[in-house]
Amino acid sequence: MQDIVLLTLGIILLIIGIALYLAKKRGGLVLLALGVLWLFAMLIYYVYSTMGFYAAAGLNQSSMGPAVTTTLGFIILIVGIALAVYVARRGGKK
Amino acid sequence: MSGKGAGLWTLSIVIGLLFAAFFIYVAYDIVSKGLSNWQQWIISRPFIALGRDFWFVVAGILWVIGTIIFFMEVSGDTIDRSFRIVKNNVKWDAVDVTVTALSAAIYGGSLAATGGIPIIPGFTWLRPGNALAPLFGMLFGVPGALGTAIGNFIADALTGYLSIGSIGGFIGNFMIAYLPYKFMKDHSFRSPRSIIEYYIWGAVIGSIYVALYISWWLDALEPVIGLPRPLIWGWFAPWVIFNDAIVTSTITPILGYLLYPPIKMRGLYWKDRVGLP
Repeated sequence: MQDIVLLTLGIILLIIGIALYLAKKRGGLVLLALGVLWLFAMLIYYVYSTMGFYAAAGLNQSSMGPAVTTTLGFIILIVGIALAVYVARRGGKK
Repeated sequence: MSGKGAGLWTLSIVIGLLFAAFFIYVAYDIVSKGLSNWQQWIISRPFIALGRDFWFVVAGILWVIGTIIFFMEVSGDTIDRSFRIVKNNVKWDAVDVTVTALSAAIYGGSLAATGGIPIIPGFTWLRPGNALAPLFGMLFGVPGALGTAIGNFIADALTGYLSIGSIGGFIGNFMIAYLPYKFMKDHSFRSPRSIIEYYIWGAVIGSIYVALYISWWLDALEPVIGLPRPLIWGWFAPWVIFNDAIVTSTITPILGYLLYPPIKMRGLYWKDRVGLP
């Protein structure tokens, strides 16, 4: 039930973001990004649930969950650092 | 350096070391008493002594203020020093959105990278990535704070803690980044004022605020989320304060000192982006 509420929130954020972005309104792009990243988290949630990586709370220590999480964490971290390098090279001033 | 200047530097370094030493002592206290004996931790005592009702009221006030601030800032408004509502001047252009995304990825990734190493399985995990949260606010402003919020949400999914409670974590982590961004005047870590301001707003108030914010949300939704109230206030709240403050009082100032110049030089520092002196 809780996942349905979170999923619905993510979809609402995404739809509002798309609408504002298409209407060229301020804040549309960030809401769109927020919606996409929120739904990315929900996708992880459903994949982990299906694979049996979750325990009642936290990760199931006897599953592949902890190893997959550590690996995915490092991959996401590297993507973030690559984005930081890209933005730093581009510079922030207009 | 003048005598007054040297005195201020000494004072700021002593204050910083005292805060760091206190939270290292709290770590020693927790380890020596045992992770399961949370009722005896020194950091749990104020919560147990003052009781759930007291903390529920205090945290409720902070929750309302934090939630209003979050929605105001994300929708483009802020409160200035004269308590007037003014525009926060965030453009939300491609650079701001990229900064939000990179903050989310670096924060979420760094939290999840250690998410497979639980301290108490099913309850909490090592979170050295917490050191980045105040920095993203101080360096990138509201886009960095929003990225911190999203990063925590993604980390919750990756570590098995995603629930309705994560909405509290979302805005709570926004506030860890927001408080030093908003209330520090000097984000450079290159003056006594900057260091003292950081320890007050970034390390101490930020850590307490996020703990109370999330705890109130967990308490209010206890029938849905299911974490027992004595555990929320006796264990969870003090643990969040400790888990956040131990890294923000030791690692963050070093990272901030190193990262401020390149961020500023590349025009990514938030004051330069919104045209403030």
